[in-house]
Amino acid sequence: MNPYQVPPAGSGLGPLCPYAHPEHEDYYVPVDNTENSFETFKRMLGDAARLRDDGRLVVALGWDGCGKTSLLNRCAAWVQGCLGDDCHVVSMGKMSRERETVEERQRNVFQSLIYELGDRELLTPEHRLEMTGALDKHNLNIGYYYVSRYVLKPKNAVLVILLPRTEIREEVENYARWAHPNLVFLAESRMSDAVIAHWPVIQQVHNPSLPIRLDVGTLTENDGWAFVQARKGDRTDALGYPFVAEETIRRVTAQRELSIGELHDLLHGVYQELLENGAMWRSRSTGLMGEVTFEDLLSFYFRRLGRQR
Amino acid sequence: MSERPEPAPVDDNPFLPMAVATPREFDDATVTIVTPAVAEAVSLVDAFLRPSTRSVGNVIAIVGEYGTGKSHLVGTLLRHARDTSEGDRPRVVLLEARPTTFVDLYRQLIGDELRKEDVSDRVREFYADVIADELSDSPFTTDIADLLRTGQLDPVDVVHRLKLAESRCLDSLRQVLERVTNNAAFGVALTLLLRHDFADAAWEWLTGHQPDQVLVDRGIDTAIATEELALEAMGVLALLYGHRGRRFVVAIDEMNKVVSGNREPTSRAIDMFQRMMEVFAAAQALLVLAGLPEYLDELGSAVRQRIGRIIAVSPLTVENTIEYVKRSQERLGRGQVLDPFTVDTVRYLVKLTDGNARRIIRLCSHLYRRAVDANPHDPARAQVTEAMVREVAREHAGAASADHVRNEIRQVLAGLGLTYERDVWLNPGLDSRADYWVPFGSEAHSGCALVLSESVLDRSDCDALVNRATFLLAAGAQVGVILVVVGLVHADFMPQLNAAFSAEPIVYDQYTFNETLSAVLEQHLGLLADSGDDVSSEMREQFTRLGRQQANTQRMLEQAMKTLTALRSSSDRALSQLQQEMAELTSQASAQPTDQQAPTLRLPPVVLTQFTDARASLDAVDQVDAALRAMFAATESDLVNAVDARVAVRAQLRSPLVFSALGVSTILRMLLDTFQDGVNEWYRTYVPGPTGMPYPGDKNRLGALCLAYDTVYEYIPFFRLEEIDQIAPYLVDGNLAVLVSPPQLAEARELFNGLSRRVHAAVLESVADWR
Repeated sequence: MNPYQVPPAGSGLGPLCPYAHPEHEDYYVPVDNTENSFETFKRMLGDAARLRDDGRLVVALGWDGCGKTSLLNRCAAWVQGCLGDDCHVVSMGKMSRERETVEERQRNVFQSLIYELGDRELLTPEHRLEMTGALDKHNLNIGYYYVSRYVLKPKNAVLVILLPRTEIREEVENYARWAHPNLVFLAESRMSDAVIAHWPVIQQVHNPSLPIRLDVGTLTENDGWAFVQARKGDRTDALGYPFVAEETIRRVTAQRELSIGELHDLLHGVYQELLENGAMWRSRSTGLMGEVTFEDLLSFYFRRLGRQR
Repeated sequence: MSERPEPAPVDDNPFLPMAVATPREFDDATVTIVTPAVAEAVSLVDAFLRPSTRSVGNVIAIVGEYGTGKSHLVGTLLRHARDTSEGDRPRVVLLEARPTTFVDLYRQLIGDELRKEDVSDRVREFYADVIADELSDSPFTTDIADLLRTGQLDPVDVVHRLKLAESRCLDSLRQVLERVTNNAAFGVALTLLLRHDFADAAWEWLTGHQPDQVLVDRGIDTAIATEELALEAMGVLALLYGHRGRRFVVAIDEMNKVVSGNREPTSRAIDMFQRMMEVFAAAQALLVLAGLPEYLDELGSAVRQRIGRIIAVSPLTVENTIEYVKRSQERLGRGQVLDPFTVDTVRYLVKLTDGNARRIIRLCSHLYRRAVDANPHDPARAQVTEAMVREVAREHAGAASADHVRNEIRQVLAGLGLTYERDVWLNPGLDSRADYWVPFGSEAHSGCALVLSESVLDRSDCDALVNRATFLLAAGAQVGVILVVVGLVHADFMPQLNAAFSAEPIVYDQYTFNETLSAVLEQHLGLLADSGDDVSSEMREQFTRLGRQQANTQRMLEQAMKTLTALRSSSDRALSQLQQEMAELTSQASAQPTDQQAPTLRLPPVVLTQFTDARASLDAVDQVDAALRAMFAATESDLVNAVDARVAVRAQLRSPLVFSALGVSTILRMLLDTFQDGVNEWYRTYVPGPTGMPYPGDKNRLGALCLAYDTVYEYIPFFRLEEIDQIAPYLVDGNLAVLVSPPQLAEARELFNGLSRRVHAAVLESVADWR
């Protein structure tokens, strides 16, 4: 077995998503400042029931692979856990492409929301008509207000919307403006500097409560080894896969900014290759599994680039 | 056995008939004579490419008159730079400045010369360095960093395969590019070139288009569409291409077409040009500017000071020309022989062409052919003589028909918004004929005269022209006389012609004629306009005029007797030519209804509309007929108002000039009718060729019809219609007279000016549609 595989089998490396797969909750590792960020989220949000009075925008910032999506999924799961069936989580992460304009992206999200809420039987024909009308008139503020006031409020429901990743700070600003009661927007962006520079404006247009910003960083000195330990990759007595030594991981993560995504991908890839090649071995003398060395990892890196080391 | 035709002889003429080798056409066979200018320029390029001078960028300016070989020198330089060793081979770019702006030049640079993949590759190199910097400190990735730096790994591929944080890598690249280019928008756009989904939008913007909304979302909201932005962008590209110590060479040929008196750049553009030169220097790039000397003046002293070297291209000497002839023949395997030329004929040729390389080469081609044709059975005995040089010069040196030149003159005058008359005698009884007379200012005989001449090869040619200039200048106080020579001017006569005419003679050159004539006319008419403004300048002009008149009078007395005969024959010839052309057209028009009675044929709409539009525009200008009809209509309806109507019409017809205007209107209608009849007849006899295209004969007939229209039209003083464009019918509405139609003279002029061209195109379009 590959210790770096995330269940269910086949999903492999995808972001953790505890609102869809509750078992993922156990896979979070306190690296990358994600644990702190999650605590920040809970602290700032306070009582989730207050979301019925004030909507929220939550923005996770950080480079690719740092775990923004997993963090936001965890936040969504937490809100859902607090509110139970009154909370609806919808993921719009794949509903638009970066190549599209801000307006197109926002319209795609809203259009998808109409379908999604319809599928969940939360919309009456009149709701659908009003929301489509707002979309046609390019007035998404009214559209989200309508959802808040006439779709969610009567049902005492809260809607958590996981937004597609954005590079444009104005897009974040717009969602801050549209965070009406009963609505939670979970946004993520790789353009930390731009969003941080724009944060005062985002705060200003948000409703009386403050938007929540979650900064996710790169791996610190001990994070790499902590991750391996959490996945039990350090166990020399594991059944079915070799171990990796602390020194090896520290050499890999030393003197460069590495994301948890990159490290996860590397280790998962190496083990997957070993598994597929039937190269898992156990020492006859010690009965222990073999070791994945620094050279093994390096060779794997070169093979990925189509080169031999 | 049937007799087979002999295979066509291989063209063994070693000289290019067009004599224009553009820098792009340079190859191993191109003959270059190492003049001092060439030697100097090549040594400068060598110095630039030498590794020891890698930290220094440079600017070389090449200046010279038309046809002296500036473009050839640019081609020589670029080829020399390209031929350097493979490892150090610089990126060489040639920009040819047609009448254009820096914006067009930039678009040529990035659209035509530097392709998307090419520019992307440069950005990719920056990206490779960015990734390598990030990976080099870690023992895990240091080897990969080395492979990136040496170009063995593609950075985009590395980021993708190793799952590196792409956004962080691209943001680092953006910052680097922003720092290098000192421009945030370029930092963003160039980075986007490496993102598949954004590359097209980024490239579109880089090539001068309006930014796509996805770029606007990212802060790029202005197109590279101003002189300033274009220059800045050129600097950016130099920096991009100067990366990793690469050599980047950009040559701009014919700079005078970008900056000239006609197209004066803004001070901001000059500042940006200066800045661009600094950026080129910083990027260790070489900038070569070539053009007429005046471009340096237009760029100003600050720019001139930053030019490392100014190389003046001098005329070819006799020795240069001999070497050129010998090497051109050697290229065809004949050895370095001068035959069929001799040292004397080369000397004469150089004198005749004033050492102008383009003219020398063109004449060499014709002379060689003439000499060989004269001795078809014994080419070895072929000889070029001085008489042959004169003869060929007269026949070919102009390389353009007089009709063609006249057409260009008409375009220039129309372009400047000037009215003119053809064949005007300013001084009756003397040879004071202006081929074109451009009246200007309020005084009688105030304006500019254009004199057209064939080659000026001997004394009599020169004397005749000096006489005409003298008589023309004597005709009025404010007269400028400009000589246009369709051919060559023997260098010995140039000083006399310079003295006799108001400007240096314009020797016709198809590439430069329009621009030169425009500039000279603008200058002269500007002087005439300035001279009327203030008293002191008027007095100065008065003195100048007195001095000039005195000199003119002296020359006039000397030459009057000699030229009387020539004057008469010349004027008679011109008149008879006009009469003949008109007679041909009129007889064609009058003969058609009586003799042929051909069935009426409706012209295709696309053609018919050309005539109806022109006719309607003339109707809009000439509303005399409508005014008269309105007057009579008023008489029938209301006797009181009829008085007003009569007074109105009478007032409008008071000026005698109205009647000459009506004459012009009438002849224009006749011309239009006969031209249309001619085109109608063309269709009647037109037979489509086997491919559906017109036979050459039909095309020629059509061309002749259009030329006939042009030839007559240019004699018609269209501007006189100004006298009637205010006349309009008055409708009587109670006691109020109402102006019905506004004057539309400008529109009519435009329609008539371009009528033949449009008809020609429309006819060909219509027959193409039949296929």
